[in-house]
Amino acid sequence: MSGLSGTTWYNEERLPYEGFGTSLAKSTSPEQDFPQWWPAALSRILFLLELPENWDSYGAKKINQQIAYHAAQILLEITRPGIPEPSIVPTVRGNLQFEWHTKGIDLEFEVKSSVLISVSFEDAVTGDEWEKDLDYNLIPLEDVIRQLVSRT
Amino acid sequence: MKNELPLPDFTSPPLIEVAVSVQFEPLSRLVVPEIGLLWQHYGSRFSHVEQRPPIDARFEKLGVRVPLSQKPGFQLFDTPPLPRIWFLDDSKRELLQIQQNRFIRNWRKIEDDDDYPRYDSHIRPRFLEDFIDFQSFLASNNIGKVVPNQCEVTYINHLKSGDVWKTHADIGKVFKFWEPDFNEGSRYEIEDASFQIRQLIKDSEGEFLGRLHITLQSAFDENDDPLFVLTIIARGKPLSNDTDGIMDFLDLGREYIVRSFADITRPELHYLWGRKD
Amino acid sequence: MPELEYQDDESIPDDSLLLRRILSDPNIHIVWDDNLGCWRPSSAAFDNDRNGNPMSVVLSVELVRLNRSMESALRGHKDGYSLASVTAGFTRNLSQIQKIVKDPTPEEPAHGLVAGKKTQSVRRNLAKNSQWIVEPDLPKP
Repeated sequence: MSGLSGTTWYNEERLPYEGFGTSLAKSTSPEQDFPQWWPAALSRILFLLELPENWDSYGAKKINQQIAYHAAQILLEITRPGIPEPSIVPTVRGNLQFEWHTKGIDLEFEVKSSVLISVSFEDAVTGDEWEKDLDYNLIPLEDVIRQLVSRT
Repeated sequence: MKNELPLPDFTSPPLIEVAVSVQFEPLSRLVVPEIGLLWQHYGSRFSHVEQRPPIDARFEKLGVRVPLSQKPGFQLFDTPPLPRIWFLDDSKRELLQIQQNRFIRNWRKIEDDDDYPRYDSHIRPRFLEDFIDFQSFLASNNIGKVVPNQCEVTYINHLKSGDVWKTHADIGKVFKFWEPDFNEGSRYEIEDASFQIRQLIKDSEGEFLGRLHITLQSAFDENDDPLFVLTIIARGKPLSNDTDGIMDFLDLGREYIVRSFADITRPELHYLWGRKD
Repeated sequence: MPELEYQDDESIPDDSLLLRRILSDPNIHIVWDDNLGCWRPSSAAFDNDRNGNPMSVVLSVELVRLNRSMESALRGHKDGYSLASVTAGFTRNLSQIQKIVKDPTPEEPAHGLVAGKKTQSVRRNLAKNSQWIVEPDLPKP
């Protein structure tokens, strides 16, 4: 199959600025599987997208489609084997919020844009409590997710 | 981190394409009629137009594991998404690619004797000029403002076989990761080889900015001669949310690319490519 | 009106209740809290409005003055809504200063506002410490 300039043969089609293919995208950890609750979570997001303006009777905005898409993507990115299904709730600003309230942990994060999330964490067992905005570095969130998963 | 040593410099690098890109929050008002206005605006500079599927948004983040290729499994449109529009000059070497969340400028090698026109004197200033022009067009047509969230520099190299290496099994003669006689020492016959590496890009404080992705594929040219396609992509967040911040990342990304290219390839090939430093 | 311009109304006693309508549909603004073993409002239910204006509530002290029941705070919103409450005193003592004011409207004479920044921890604390006045009829998961 000819490449962009017609002078190169590849095993797969290459377009200019196609970027890297799926093979490069595989992480060093085992291939991520969708969690069992993923279809239900997706249905929930799609349901929330249907809520009309003023869905809460206090003037709340309709859920923003772009935010919903990025929220689903971020949820997939931070998911680990064993992570419980989150509650997914809309916010008055048209964003989505994910919540876990289990094993003594209260973990919530609101997806505010394609890169900005606001995280709130409280651990009744350790007394640890913090809230912060995260953008490209989600390690603090990854750490508490790991804590949530590992706690029996 | 920015290195103070001079950048490796090659008179004839094996580059066939360089792309410089900004990804931004989607501009919902950049739709078909506005693309038409943009084409008019470009006039004879980019008189040829083509259409491609849009590229999905890509973000480099720390603390995530899922493959970038794995999408949430749904798409949401009130209206069909705007395709990626190519604006090409008459030579087809210079190319702008525009979609609702991305602006890309490419240089491509079209003829065998096309020389790489250099980042500092051509790639960078042309990108900056066209990007500023694009932002001005957006403002004057009330389409919106670019809010950048990722920047990207891509260098695509064709490493041709010849005196230094003959077959893909000679990968050790091209890249320092393997011994030069890797092929001769192999118990079983090697047919071809590939690799992928990800490295972290950090700012001067050591804070995460993005990643360098290095990919090698085995391929063949139009004469059926072996060829390695080495693609190096630097992707990450702008150092600030303005044009200066975008350019700062692009410059840093290019530095990462050039240094990595020199670090991983063998000096015998550097001689062929005219390394000057 | 900017938050700074609101003055906390001390005639609203600390032990009086601030009532908030919550959609009864589970997982819109009601979540199962395994730690507490109950359905409770999400923190997202205790926020300023979409434009950042103060959080709207019904004041129990005004309901009492008007000789109305607590449940009457759902007047005009009976179908599909539950009613949650927090005390005025708890709200005033949160990490971010909250000011409680009376704000009667033609539709709701007992209407009030809670002015102050609603950080995630403020919202979470309000939600976790709320009590149902009209509880949603939901099965345990």
